[in-house]
Amino acid sequence: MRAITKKAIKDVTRRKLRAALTIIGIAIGVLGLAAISTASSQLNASLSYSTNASAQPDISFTTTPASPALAGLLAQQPNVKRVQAGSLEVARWAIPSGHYPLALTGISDFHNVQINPFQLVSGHLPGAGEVLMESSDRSIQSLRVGDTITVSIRNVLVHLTISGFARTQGLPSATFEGLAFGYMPEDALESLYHLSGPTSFLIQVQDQSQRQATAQQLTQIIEGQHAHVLSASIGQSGTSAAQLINGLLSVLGILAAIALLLSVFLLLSTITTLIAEQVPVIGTMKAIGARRRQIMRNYLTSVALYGVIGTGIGLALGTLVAALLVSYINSLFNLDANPLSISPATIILCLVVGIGVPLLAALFPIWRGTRITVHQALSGYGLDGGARRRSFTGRFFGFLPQTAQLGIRSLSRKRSRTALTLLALALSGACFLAVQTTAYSFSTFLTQETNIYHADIFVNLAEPTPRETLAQALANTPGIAQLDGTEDQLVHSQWGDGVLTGITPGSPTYHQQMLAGRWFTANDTNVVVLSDKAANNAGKHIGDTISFNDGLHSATWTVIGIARDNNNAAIKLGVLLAPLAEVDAFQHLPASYMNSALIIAGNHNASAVTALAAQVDDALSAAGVQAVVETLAQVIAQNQSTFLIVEVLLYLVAVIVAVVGAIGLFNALVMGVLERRREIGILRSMGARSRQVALVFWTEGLTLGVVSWVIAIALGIPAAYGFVLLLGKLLVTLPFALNPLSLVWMLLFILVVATLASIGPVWGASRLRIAETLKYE
Amino acid sequence: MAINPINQEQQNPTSPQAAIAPLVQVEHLSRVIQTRAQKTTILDDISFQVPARSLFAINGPSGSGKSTLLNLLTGIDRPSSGRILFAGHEVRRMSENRLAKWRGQHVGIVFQFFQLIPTLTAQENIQLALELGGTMPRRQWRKRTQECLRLVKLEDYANRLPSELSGGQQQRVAIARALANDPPVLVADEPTGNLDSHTASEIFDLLAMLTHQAKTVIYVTHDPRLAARAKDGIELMDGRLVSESRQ
Repeated sequence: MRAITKKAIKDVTRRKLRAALTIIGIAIGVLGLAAISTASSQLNASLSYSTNASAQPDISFTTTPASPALAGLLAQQPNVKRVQAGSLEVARWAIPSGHYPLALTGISDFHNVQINPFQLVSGHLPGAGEVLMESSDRSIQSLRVGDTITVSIRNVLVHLTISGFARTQGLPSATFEGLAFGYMPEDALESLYHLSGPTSFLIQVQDQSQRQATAQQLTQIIEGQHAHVLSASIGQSGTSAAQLINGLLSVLGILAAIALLLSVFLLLSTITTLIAEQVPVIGTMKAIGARRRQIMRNYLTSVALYGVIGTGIGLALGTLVAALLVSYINSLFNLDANPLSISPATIILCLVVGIGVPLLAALFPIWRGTRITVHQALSGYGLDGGARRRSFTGRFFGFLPQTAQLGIRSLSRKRSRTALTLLALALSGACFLAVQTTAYSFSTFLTQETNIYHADIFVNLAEPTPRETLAQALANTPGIAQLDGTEDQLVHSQWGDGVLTGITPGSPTYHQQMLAGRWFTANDTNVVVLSDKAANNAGKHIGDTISFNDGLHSATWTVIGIARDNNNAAIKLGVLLAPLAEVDAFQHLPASYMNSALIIAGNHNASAVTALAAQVDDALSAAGVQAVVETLAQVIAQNQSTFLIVEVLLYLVAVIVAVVGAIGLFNALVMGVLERRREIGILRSMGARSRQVALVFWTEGLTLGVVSWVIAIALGIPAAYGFVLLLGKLLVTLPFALNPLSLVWMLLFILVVATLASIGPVWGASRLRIAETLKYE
Repeated sequence: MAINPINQEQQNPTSPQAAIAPLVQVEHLSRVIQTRAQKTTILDDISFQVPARSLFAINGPSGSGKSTLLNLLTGIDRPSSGRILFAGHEVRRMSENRLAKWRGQHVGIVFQFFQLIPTLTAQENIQLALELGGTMPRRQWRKRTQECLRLVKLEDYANRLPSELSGGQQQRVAIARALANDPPVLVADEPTGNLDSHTASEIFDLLAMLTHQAKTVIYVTHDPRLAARAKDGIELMDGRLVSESRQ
């Protein structure tokens, strides 16, 4: 092997810590790229397999019990390709920690399920007294084929034997949905619930463009057969899963790009340090005949080595991370997983990025560093060539000890390196601030929503239910101070899907936060108050009209106000508020029907609310009202757990960014020690103790930290705002909320990073031998 | 130990023409450093000649400009005025890269503090010079490296790193490296300045021996005793030539 190649290898292996940190930096960048690229392709394949559009319903009706012959009648209608009738009821599944809602689907012919099909994973199809559970239900409670579960149906305990487990295409997992799923024979389900016929009709159409018209026509037929449509939905499920997954992957992709950018910064810092260390060697090589390109090739070989090793590690770890990520998301959304594979295109991309980017990034500092002449290289004494004027530190910081001034003054010695270090540290701080702000914005969002929807207990009803029925069911439940309801209906508009929310104006369960216009009055009809998000997305102002439909019914209402309401934050358009009676009328429901209830407890104490929620659950079940009852604390916890993955990933990136920033500062301080060896020797020869020498460099590190904090504020606040906005477009809309305390935390964070990064160089500087540092060349 | 000659003048060391012609000619050389504060003349109108195959001393006290003169001779530094002719070629006119290549082929430099590449072994340091100089094909490098190590009596230390060698041994390796491409001229800046007297004497004897092998050795020293060992030389004082000795 050539000596010059051996030198390139030894330059890498000699400084093991620096090599390790640089390789880790490159590996992190490649890891992110490999993980996101691989996970994205795997998840897209899983999604396309698991959410087979051809098996999804185009129209779904929930009705009062209908005649079994209705399915055949609907199938004969124009544009109807397929009809699947059944029943869907919610029971209370007894689990060790209490109860969990279990949606039971009645199937009349298990061998002919063509819409929302499922795959028998283990066991057999259910017969009488049996239930086929969804595989993801095992995340709620450990279950096996042959086990018996106990469900409460209209306050009657029923024991069902688990015949097997199924996996349904496109169905999210039980923990994600907050609802377990199971299948039973249709006749058994009807018997349990005393139903006279099917209550669920799933329709597939021939011509998608006509599905709304078809839905309206079928509604009339259903109504004509003495069944009432309780709810209808048009469109296919699974798109929300795809949106969430793609949104999450996009966020992760952005974070991976930030990590890659910072690893480039780190590499630049490392290469600059390496070149600075090797100035005498460069001089020697030139003295004995090396041309610049030969020297450049030497250092580029070292960079390529960093790149190759880092890429190898990054690819391996990236594949592992991808596997974990895919497994987690598949479990969340109940997707079928293909065997993990990493495509050749991803490998090539990682190689290009992991080796090519470091080489490109290192080109300029190497070119610049190798232009030094032999004379300059061999005669560098480590002191500046003579100060040309009194440093500004002398003018403004004269009150500080000279050792501290030395540290501050060093910032102006190598301006480009200082700028690079400041930028890396500032980016670290800005990332930290962005993450803090996102987390704070989310908690603010939760607080805002709980201030608007003001209740201790939230009741989600399986179907629209009259308020009077609820009131009667809960008449003997003490401790309820207020009971009101809302009716949420998914609507479509030209600006995307929104949620039409019917509320009771004047109810203490809804605290409107008006931003413009006015609230509802008693005689208002065909009017709507838009959330600020909806108003912005639709470009609507007070007095404008807005048109929307739910597939069966359409309306054009006048905007009378704009209010803050970020409920259903993932919905594209936003929230449209209207009086409950108006929303019921829009859906052709009798007045005061609601699909969720808000209860204010007399005693807000946590344990009292929990007890009350259990009583409400029991009372509703006894009255045959199917509902999921949650306390405010449970709702908040579920929202927080849903956001948790995003928060964890954001903090993980913040930690990585901090590490990279610290390494950059570490390298800068090491270079400072190297360049100022003679200065250190002179200080020590004059009597400076180790801690005084250490103070010089620690001051430099802290000063860099403080200055970068100021820059980080300037960068971080708009970055945080941009990030929250981006999160809104990709995942969930959050109100931007900056906690001023975050700026203090950011300063502490940067100072900790600066101090940790200073430890090595400070220790090294304080231990330099005077004779070594004052030796002349 | 035979060293393959590459310089035509070395092929017949006894020819009168080869003995008379100076290898290095310095004409009216000056080096001035101009800062905002002041103008400092390091060298002032120096002119002299270095005969071929001679041991040539540049003597003078500290600050007389000896090392600067040596840097100018090797192209490490550039003069403010005057010219240097090295075997008929004017050094000043070359670009940095051409100078580096020229140095690799025509000048072997020995530094006071050795300046070995710390991560390479003794033989790798020598091999590096062969790679950079490009004066012989690769298949000859190994043999040439061993020859150079034998010349300085370090053949048993080929695989040692500089940190594993004494000062004297490091300087021997530096000399071997300087000889790798068989340059006609060796330039040494205080080659014994960092060594004890016994080792310094050995090193100097080695350098002096090279003139018997058709090398020209130019060395800088502030030690009059070492300066006296050279038959030819100059003495500098405050950047000026105060005396020149020739034989």
